[in-house]
Amino acid sequence: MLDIYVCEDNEKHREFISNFIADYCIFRNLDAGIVLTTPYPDYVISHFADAQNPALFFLDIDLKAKINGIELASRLRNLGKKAFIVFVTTHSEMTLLTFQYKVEALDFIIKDNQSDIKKKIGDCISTVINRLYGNSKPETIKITVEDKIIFLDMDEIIFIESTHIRHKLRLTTKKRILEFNGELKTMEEKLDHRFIRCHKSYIINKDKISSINKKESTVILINKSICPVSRNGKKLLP
Amino acid sequence: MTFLMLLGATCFSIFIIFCVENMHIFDMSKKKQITYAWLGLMIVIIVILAREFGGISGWAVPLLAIFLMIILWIIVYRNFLKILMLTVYLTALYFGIEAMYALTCVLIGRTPAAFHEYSEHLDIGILAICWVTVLVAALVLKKILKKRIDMNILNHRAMYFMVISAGISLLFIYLKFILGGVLFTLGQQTVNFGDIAYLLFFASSIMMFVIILRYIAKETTQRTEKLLIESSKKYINDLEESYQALRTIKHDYVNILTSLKLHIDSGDMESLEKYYYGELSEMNKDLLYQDHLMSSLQNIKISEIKSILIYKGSLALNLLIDTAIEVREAVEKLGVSTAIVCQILGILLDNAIEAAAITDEKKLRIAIINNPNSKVFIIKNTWKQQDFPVSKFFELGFSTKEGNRGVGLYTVRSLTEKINGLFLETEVTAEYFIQKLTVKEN
Repeated sequence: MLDIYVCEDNEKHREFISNFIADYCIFRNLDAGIVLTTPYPDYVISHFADAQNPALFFLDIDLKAKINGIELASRLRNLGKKAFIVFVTTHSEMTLLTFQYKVEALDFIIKDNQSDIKKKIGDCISTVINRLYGNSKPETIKITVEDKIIFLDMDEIIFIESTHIRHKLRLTTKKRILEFNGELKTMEEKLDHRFIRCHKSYIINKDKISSINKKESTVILINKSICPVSRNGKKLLP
Repeated sequence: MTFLMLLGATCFSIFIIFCVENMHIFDMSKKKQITYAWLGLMIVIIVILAREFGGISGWAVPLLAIFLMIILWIIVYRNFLKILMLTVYLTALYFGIEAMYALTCVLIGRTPAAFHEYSEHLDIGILAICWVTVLVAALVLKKILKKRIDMNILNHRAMYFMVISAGISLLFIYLKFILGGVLFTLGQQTVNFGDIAYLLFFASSIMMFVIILRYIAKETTQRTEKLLIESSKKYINDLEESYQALRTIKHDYVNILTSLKLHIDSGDMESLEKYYYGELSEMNKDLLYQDHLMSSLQNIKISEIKSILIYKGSLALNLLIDTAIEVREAVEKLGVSTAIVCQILGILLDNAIEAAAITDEKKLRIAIINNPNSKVFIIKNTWKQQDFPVSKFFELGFSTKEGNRGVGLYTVRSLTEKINGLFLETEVTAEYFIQKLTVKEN
């Protein structure tokens, strides 16, 4: 069961959102429901602190209370439970990069367009339900870039390589490249059987190989990257 | 003493093997290397046969081997420098193994001697171990040094220096070969000339080793400095441009005031009104907007970073890109050289502006975020999505624009790869191209 919370100071708006969510959950027969709608951020915190279920929050940013939505979000995060946060706001300037970076919101919904809100709220709920209970619950791996923790789906990773600097690694997916501190050995342990250490400086995802060049001892991956293969690595190749 | 000399000689030989192996001129394909290894083995067999059955002995044995090798290389290469290098390589290998062999003999309590002085007692087992040890040692040296030193340094002037000094040192070895058995009296003592050759060789090896290490250290610092100078040149250029941009704004204001004065002086209220609400308000919008952009920059206390953002920001505005810079908290210091961060930001911003300019939305968002132990620079821009994997952008010579050199991101990568405390994250979505540069604080 997914608990949904709505925190919004405007009464009309609060009702509009919660009614829509309630209808959405019933019509689609989802294992989710509203547990709290309130204008007070403190209520949200105290209620969530005792709750057991994973939760999805729809928060307004300007709450006309002691704390604003952003702060509320970071407090909810600090409780260390499974929480998905969506901001519903009129403040387009609040959709700033800084906040996006800091609170890792699932989405930002701008209130201006009513029909757009409905679609976006629906999308958010489906996404969360899918992530929690979907069949293909993807395996993730945790990566730390200095102060930031990033979770990546393992099946997106194409390869990980070491760089010229000790302990600095680079991870490549189709849409993303990340540099971070770590060691290939520990990464190898964290990753599952799909990944092989084809060379002392490379870990590749077996599912992402597009071709193998035996003559030159290289593998060409789906993103056209070329990785060298060592003698031991050859034995691991499919 | 003998022990130390032999140890020095072994180390030196290993070092020469390492140097020659890493020189650009020496690179060959694996296949070629294997062919030569076989040819080399054949020559060794010929030499052994010549020694055993042909009656050749003494120093003629190694000389014969070298002679055969040189003939082989002349046939294959016809390149004087390569032949010289290969001769140096082989001699160093031969001597390294011999010194190692003698060293082992000393360790296990036998009388050390050069190969050619043995007749029946040449222990093939020890010899094989020595051979492997020397090659492994050169390999280990390569592994250790490759991480710390840019091997390209070895390919320039250092190479000639090395060839000459290696040649001089090797001359001593040959002197030893030739004069190994000659004794002469010095005062009351009888001295073996071979020992003197060993001593001279040992001394020159230490000298050469020190000189090369110092040369490499110097060259490395010079390279870093050169890099810094280049990036600061680019930075100064950017600074000049940003100053120019500021002057343009000032100039615009003066122009506006002057034309206002003209309108007031002529007393033509109607045209003044028209000017104020028409032309001027349009102009003002731009100017005010620019002001808004600048105001968020006051939190940046590092002037170099600030000026590059001002310059690139106004560049983007001139191209009618919707630009915003967010700096919520004070940015006071970075753990990495400011010049390098500026260089990277310059490249990333140039790319972002270039990409955003050809989209319909034309959006550029820049943010600097303060974390407890790091600062994060985020550059997010709209882009015309292309069907390339993101890794492609970092390849040298890859560019989405025709005629562009495509060195920008390649440079960025080579910087983040070489400097500790810099991490670049690149992400693409259908709409946005996002670069996040994390800079460690300490």
